[in-house]
Order: sequence, then C-alpha cells, then structure tokens
Amino acid sequence: MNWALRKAIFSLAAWFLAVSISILIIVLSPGDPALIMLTGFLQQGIPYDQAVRMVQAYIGFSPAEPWWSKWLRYLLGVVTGNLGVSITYRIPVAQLIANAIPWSIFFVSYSLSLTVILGVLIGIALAYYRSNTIFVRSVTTVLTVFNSIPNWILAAVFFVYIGARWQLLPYMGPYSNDVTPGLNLQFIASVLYHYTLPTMVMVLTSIPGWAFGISAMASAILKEDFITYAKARGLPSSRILWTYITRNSILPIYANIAITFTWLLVGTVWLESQFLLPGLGSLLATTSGARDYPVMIGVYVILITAIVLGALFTDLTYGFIDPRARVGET
Amino acid sequence: MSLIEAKGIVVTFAIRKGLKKLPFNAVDNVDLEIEQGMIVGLLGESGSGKTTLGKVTLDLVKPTKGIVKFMGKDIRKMYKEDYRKYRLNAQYVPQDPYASLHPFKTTKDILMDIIKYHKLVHSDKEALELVSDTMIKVGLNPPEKYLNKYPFQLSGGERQRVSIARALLLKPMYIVADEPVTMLDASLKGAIVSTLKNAIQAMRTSLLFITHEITLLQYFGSQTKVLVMYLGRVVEQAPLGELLQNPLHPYTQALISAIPVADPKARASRKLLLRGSPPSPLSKPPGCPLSDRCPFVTEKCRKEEVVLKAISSKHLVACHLY
Amino acid sequence: MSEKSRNLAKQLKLVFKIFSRSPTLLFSLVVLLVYIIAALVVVLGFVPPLPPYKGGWEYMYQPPSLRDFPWYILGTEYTGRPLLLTIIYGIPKTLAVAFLSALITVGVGTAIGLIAGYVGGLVDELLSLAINVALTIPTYLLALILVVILPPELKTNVLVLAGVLSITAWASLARAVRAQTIALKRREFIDVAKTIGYGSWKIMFDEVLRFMAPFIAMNLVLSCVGAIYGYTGLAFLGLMPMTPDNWGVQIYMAIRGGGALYSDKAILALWSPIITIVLLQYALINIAKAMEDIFNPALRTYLQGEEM
Ligand SMILES: Nc1ncnc2c1ncn2[C@@H]1O[C@H](COP(=O)(O)OP(=O)(O)OP(=O)(O)O)[C@@H](O)[C@H]1O
Ligand SMILES: [Mg+2]
Repeated sequence: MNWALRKAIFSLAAWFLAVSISILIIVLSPGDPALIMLTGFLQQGIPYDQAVRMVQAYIGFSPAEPWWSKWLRYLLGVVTGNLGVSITYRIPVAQLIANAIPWSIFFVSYSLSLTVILGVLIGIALAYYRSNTIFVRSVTTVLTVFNSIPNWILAAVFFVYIGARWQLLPYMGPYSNDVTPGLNLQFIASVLYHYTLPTMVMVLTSIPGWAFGISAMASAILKEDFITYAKARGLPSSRILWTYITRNSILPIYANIAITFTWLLVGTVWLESQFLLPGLGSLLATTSGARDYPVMIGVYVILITAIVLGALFTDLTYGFIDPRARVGET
Repeated sequence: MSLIEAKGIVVTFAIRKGLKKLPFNAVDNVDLEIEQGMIVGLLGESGSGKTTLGKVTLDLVKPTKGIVKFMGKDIRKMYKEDYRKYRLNAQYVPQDPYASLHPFKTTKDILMDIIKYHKLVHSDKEALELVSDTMIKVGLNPPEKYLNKYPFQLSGGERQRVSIARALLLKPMYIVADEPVTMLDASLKGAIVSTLKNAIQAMRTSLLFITHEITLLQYFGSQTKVLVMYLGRVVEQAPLGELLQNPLHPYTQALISAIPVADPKARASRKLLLRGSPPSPLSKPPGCPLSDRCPFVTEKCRKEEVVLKAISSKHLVACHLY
Repeated sequence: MSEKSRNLAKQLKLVFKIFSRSPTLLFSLVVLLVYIIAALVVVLGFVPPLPPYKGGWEYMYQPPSLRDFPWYILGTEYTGRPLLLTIIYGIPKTLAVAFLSALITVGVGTAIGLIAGYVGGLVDELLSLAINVALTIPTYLLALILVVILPPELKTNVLVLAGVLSITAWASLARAVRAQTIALKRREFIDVAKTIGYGSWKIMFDEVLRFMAPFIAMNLVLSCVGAIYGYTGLAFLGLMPMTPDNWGVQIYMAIRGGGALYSDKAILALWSPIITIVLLQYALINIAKAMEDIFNPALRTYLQGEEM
C-alpha cells in the first residue's frame, strides 16, 4: 500500500512538473498567447484597458504581467479547475472539455483493446509459425507497410475512398441523426457503426509495433531451455507457448499499454478531426486552427493529465498482479 | 616502504532476498602488503572475496572500512598528480577474458587507444612500434596477425594475452592478475603464467596473482608470499614452500590435500576432508568461519573470533589450534 | 591517405553487401539515395524555380502533360504549379528537418542517458526526474501548441522546426540508454578502462557509447521517421505555413480543396505526396532495422569473409 502511495505521489509530482514546464515554455515562447490575443482585440478597435481585461477573463492572466506571474496564475487556475473561457464558443473551457472527455475515452479505449488483442495474437502467430517463411515474410511486409503509413494519411485515404467516394462506411460524425443520444440500443449501435472507420485506422497503424514486439519476445522465449524441456515432457507446443508467453511477457505488455495509450490519445487530434468526431483531439485541432488559446492550453493540460493517470493505472494494476514488480523499484 | 599496503579492509555488500536486504562482508578485516617487484599469491575458493580484495587495491571497489596506501600515501587522500601516478601504475588483468575486451574494438584499437589517450609517444608509427613490442613480449607473435582482429576472432588464450599486453603497455609498478588462466586449457595455463612472470620480472613490477589453484603459484617459486582466504578472511599467510610443507590451518591442509600427487604414501598421510558444502558468505558461522566444516572443531572455535597470529617471522595463521 | 580511402571503399562495399542480402533493404537504400540525390539537385539549383501561383479553376489539378518535360507529367496541383516540381521541392527541407531533429533527439537522449547511468547518485536522480517528466509530454502535442503560437517567421526556420519536433522526443531514448549504461558499468572492460586511466568522458562517450552504437544508429533513423511524421502531420492539420512544398499541405489541399472528395480530378495531387511520404518512411524503417547488422563486427567479418 505504501508502495502504491509512493507511486501516486511520484506521478503527481511528474504531472505537476510536466504541466508547469509546458506552461512556462508557452508563456516564455516568442508567441505569448496573451499578447497575441491582446493584439487581436486591439485590432478590432477595443480600447486598451478593456482589451487587457478581456484577455484576463478569457485566458486567466493578463498580457501586462511578468512571465512568472502569468505562469503562477495559470497554474493556480489549473489546480482549482478554472481553465478560462473559450474565445470561439464563449463558454468555460472546463465545460467544453467535460463534454469532450467521454467520447475520447470511448474511442481510445475501444481502439486500445482491439490493438492489444490483435497485436498479441499476430505476434504470437508470427513466432509460432516462424519456420513457415512465406507466412512470416508476407505478414512482416504487410506490417512494415502499415508501420510506414502515418495514421493521419491512412485516415485521409479511408475518409476519401471508403467514406466519401465509395460510401461503404459512415465517415462523418459520431452517430446518425435519426437516433436519440442516451442509453438505448440504437444509439449505441449507431455510435459503434460510426466509429468503425476511425477505429480501423487507429488499430491498423498501431498493430505493427505490438506484433513485432510480441513476436521478438515470443521467439526469444521459444529458444530458451525450459521450452525444450517442456517439449521433452510432451506438452503440446501451442499450450507451452501460451502458458509461457502469458507468464513471461506480462511486464513488457503492460509497459507498452501505457505507451500505446499515449500514442492513441495524441492520434485523436488527427483522427477525430478527420472524421468530424467530438472529443479532446478534435477540440484541440479545431481550436488550434481558430487560435482559441484558452481551449488549446486547457485541452493540452487535460491530455497530459490523462497520460499520467494512464501510466499510473498500468503501474498500479501491474504491481497488484505481480508483487515482484514492486521490489524492482527503489 | 611497501608499494601497496592495504590495512583493515572491510567490504560490505548487500544482497536482496525478497523484500529484505541482507548485508554481508565479502572482505572482512584483511591486511595486505606488497613490496616493489614482489609477487604475492592470493589463494581461495570461489566466493572467498579474492576479486573484491584485488579491486580494492585498484580503487575499483571502495572499501567500507580500511585504507589503501600506494608508496606510503593513502589513495583517498592523494593530490591529483599522485593519484594519477597511482592510477597509471596499478593495472588489472580481469578474471574473464571474454568480458574484459571491448567487443567492438580490434586489438589495435584497444592498445593504440591507450597510447594515444595518454600521449605517450609523438607519432602513430612510434605508437605502433610500442604496441608491437608489447604484443611480442606476451607471445602475440607476429603482431600483424592479431592487430586487426576483434575479440570474437581470438582464442581464449590469445584474448588473455591481449588483456595482459594491455596491462603491461603502461609499464605499471603493480598488476592485479585475477585468475588469468582459469578459463583456459591446462596445456596453455603454464605458458601464459610464464609469459606474465617473465614480463613483470623484466620490469620489476609487483604482481598480485589471484587464483584458486595452488599449483599455479609454483611457477613463481617457493619464496612467493601466499595469502589463503576463506569467506572474506585471511586464514593463513606464508611463503609458498613453507605453506606446502607445513600447512597449519585445516583449510590450507584441505586445499593441499586436494592436489593430485603421485606417491600413494604421501597421499594417505595428507588425507583430510572438510565436511559440508562450499561456503556461502550469508551463512557464515559465529566464531571461526570454518567452524562448521572443520574436523578439529572445539567449543572455543564456535564462540571466539580468531585473529591472525605469527607462528614464525613469515608464517601467520588464524586458528585456535595454535 | 590511400590506405584511408581504401578502407572507406572497403566499408562501403561491406554496407552494400549487407544491404544486398535482402532485396527489401536494397530497395530501401535505393529509395533513400534517390531522395538524397533529389535533395542535392534542388539545393544545387539544377531544378527550375517554382512558377508563380495561378488562380482560377482551369489551372488547378490539370491532367499530366509532356509540356516542360518532365515537370508536368503529374499534372498540376491546387495552385496551378507543376505537381512533380512542388514534390521535389519538398524533399530538401523535409530531409533537413528530419535529420536535424533526429540529431538533436539522439544527441540529447544519448548524452542524458549516459551521464545519468554512468555518474549515478544525485545527478542520476535529477536527470531521471527530467526524463520521467519529459516522458509524460508527447512531443507532437507540445509541438502542436508551439507551432500554433510561434510567429510565422520562426515556423519556417528549419532549425526551430527541428527543435520543436524533438522537444521531448529524446526522453524514451535517454531512458533506454540509461538502463543499458547501468548494465554495462558492471562489465569488466569498464573496470579496465578505469585502471588504464581513461576519464569519465572517454569511458562514457567512447567505450560505453561504442557498445551501444547499433542501438543509437537505429534510433537516429527512427527519429527521422518520427520527425517526418510530425512535420507533415502538423501541416496536414493546417497549422504550418501553407507553403506549396510541404507534402502535408499538399494532401490537406487535395482533400479540403474538394478535389479528391467527389471526383478523380485530384487523384494525382492526393496520391503523389502520400506515396512520397510513405515510401520514404518505409525505406527509413527498413534501414533502421539493418543498423544492427551494419554495426555488428561479427556479422561484418562474416560478410567480409574471403577478403580477410
Ligand atoms: N557488487 C557486488 N554486490 C554484491 N555482492 C557482491 C558483489 N561483488 C561480489 N559480491 C559477492 O561477494 C563475494 C565475494 O566475491 P568475489 O568476486 O570477491 O569472490 P572471488 O573469491 O573472486 O570468487 P571467484 O573465484 O568466483 O571469482 C561473493 O559472495 C559475491 O557474490
Ligand atoms: Mg573472482
């Protein structure tokens, strides 16, 4: 328990440092958002004093303050849950984010579970049938090709062809217009249907990393002595593989889950905006285009928070599954 | 004044067992003195702390307690120039020739780098000459045959020769050779030990020769000072000849009885076997460290610590029997 | 001198041998060479300048033609400029951003990992904290924010872009290098290096680093892949200056400009930059995988075989 608490405190410290350093970079960079906003308001003919007050109301700090006071004030806002007001939507950033979070959680966890399951299966198949060169070569080639396609390019291609041109799958919006949002079957079915294409993109572009990693690990395990021994005892090799892989590779799999989670979360910026889905990613993408700084920075902070929580969650669950993991750390 | 003098050396390591850390002394209150040009043998079973003690004299392991002096000066309290002198004059031939050579460097890279780093000579040509000379000295002859080879292209014996050449290159005053031939064929052992001996005697270099085979020490002559270690302690110290003829400590007697001898009568008279399994530093008994395996054990041995006592001017033993 | 050039020739021959063992690798090497040559051709000014922007529907997405051969064989793009030319103009800048960013990522990551692992103690604690914090900040996320707020003149600066695209990318490499350094520190050749009198810098940046050379080289190439992803991807979001020579902008325009969505009119304008990016990434990923072989002396000598 003591160990879990220590982990949590460490994560909190890392989160705080990550957020404050990012904010520091932002307020110190040559493009201080407060100043840019102020210039924008002044250009609209708003008097200086009022413009300064407006900037302060939107983003939480004033363009006239020294950098450290901007930094402190924004951090204080983050800690108290006050992230400013959106310039484009004119509503509190926190509210915009709260509306977006459930969609992103759904999208990312749906893609993540599919990626992990399919990635592990393909990886094990690669290791198991490694004597079959044709199989290994062709699967490896396909995986390498998908590895080289940036997810936003695959999204664009699927959007244009499978969506717009051939109309095979829905490619815009999170659900169709004729369902009522809520806990009803039609709505859920419609959401799943609309997320098919985006999820395909996420999964196809993240599988290669998993499949290669698992297959390398499984091949290494298959070469070890205890496998030869188990074979000599007459255990069927598929069962050996399954038992030993699951036993010996849980740690790397767990470590990878946090990394893939982060990767997918960042991927939503491109995918949600491409397929016009609600969520943190599309919120960040659209507000970046509109230079809506309060929302941009707010979403950024929330994404960092999600990443830290994701890492903490995998660490803790792994520690509870395998107590040995707790000893490894000092 | 001795070249190397280690006093009261204690090295404490801790090993993890489950969630706990168990501390133990890998080297336990050991003194070691090596004079200029002298060869000292360090004898003991695996795990007795030989390598650790050797590394302490090279400042590769910091002792928990005790001091190491080089030419009378404490190496921890030296001025920078003095320390540098010590550093370059104390060289190491590690135990495992496979792990001690950089796998991505050729023999030439390994040896030339040293000369270039310390700017020992002015031109590449001179450097190559120096390298070739040293290689010939350790039996890598002709040098051209080995210069461009990577460690994995060398045999075990050749690697060990490269490792020795590397230690000799700086013409040091002191070398620690840690079981330099353990991993080699019996036929090669003698050749390499002789090479080492000839090379260091030509330079009047001191040598700490670490081994678990007492027979190897015979190459250095019967006057060689030998320290016998057991579980981190020195249990006996004497010149080799004296040690072979008149071993006092039961542990030394056991070591010597393990040497194969031709004469059956001699064999019978020297028969002595220790009970139990080889020692682990974690299960060191109280009192004398050998008390759980010694055939002559008394009540006193199990309770009272033993210290090294002088039996004659050159013969020391740590045993309650004397 | 002549020995040096002979050595170089031998090395190149060796690299070629490693590559020719697998057709995929050979293909990848050829692809990369083509890109590099194209970049040099542009930089040296052997390519005609981009013609000025031409508004009007009739100039946009024209079909391929043999006019001004070969520049119009892919037709024109959304500004009426020859597509092939704009794509080729994108090569030097993309490669420069990718390579610089990879250098920064790998340089910083390796140095921090080596120092943290080798020096240990308080230095390690502090650097590990920095690594852990940087690990929680995804590079492209912070890069996105910075790209938006930076003034336009900085956004087109190759060095600034490279810095932005490697801002926290070094962290995962630093973590791996640190772990490997800690493991290597216990090896006997490091003990020997100390007794030989090598200083900490020499041990870290020669002995230890040389041991990790294949890994570092692989990461250098993979960092290029990452930087190209970020550079084109952020442009695709419309956040970079809308210069016609950015492949991400070209894809963005082919779709947002409407051309590709409803007809095949912009098919070349959509697929040409896509294939350009994917081909480059594919080649780089394959080359990254081969770095292990190139740097492994055992394999090298095996291939050199008969020459020894
Ligand atoms: N860095 C370390 N951390 C913890 N324990 C150590 C460390 N180095 C050595 N030991 C332990 O200290 C004891 C003595 O080790 P040392 O290597 O000095 O023995 P040795 O006499 O050289 O044995 P061998 O003949 O096997 O080389 C051993 O039990 C070993 O496991
Ligand atoms: Mg040893």
